[in-house]
Amino acid sequence: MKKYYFIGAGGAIGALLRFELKSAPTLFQSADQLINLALTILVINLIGCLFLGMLNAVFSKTERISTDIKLGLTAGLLGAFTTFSTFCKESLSILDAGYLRFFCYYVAASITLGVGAVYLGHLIGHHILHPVGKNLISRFSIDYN
Amino acid sequence: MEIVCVIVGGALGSTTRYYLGKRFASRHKHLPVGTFVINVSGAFLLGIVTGFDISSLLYGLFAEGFLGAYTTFSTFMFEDFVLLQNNRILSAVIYVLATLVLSFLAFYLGFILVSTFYPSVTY
Repeated sequence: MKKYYFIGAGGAIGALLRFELKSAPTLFQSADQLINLALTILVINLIGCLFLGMLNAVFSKTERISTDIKLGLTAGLLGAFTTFSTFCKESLSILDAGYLRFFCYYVAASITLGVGAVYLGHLIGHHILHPVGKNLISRFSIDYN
Repeated sequence: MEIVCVIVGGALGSTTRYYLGKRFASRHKHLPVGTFVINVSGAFLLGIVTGFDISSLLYGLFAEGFLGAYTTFSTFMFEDFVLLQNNRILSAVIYVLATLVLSFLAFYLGFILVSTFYPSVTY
């Protein structure tokens, strides 16, 4: 039951961050508001993918972090920060506005860059963050053995 | 005020996703059926919400908050990455295509249902 509080708290923060980023008007400045919004959603989703790849790689190797915290950050924060429903809505409004070509590129880019971002995050977590974290922990913490 | 709606919706949406995802995962161990059902149903519901001309507070609660957090892009991509990593290329491609096509159709279906039966509902 306790993990649901962590997921809920993470989800609240994730949704709020996404909402604030979405309302920030300065990210993209193309003439069409629809395209600006779609690109903002793409950036939000890619950031989330990168962090999820990174965190899952680090978390899979450590037992020092509690499951509640792990779930709060992955299923809660990142799951709520990224969104699929708005992605669908924005893709379809692009299509509806007649930008067939941009629609195809947008959907294809979201998927390929999304998987790519997870992979990049996985590499960073696996080869950089985890070794550094392990090093820091062994240097600064009490040895439990 | 809108921010409060987004926060409340986000907390409810993410916990609902986790709960449903876990229930599906215990029945289907080899394919990410949970996220698939969640994303398609979330797109359908957003189509419905979009069809109604609701206030920005309600939109913040249901669409930006609840459905935004209920559906997820990062887990969708992560699961696809894991399928690719395990050399299940065909499953990975089918998973992505099925999610995209059915979600787009589901969104339209929800939107059309509302505009057919309640052409001018305003709250």
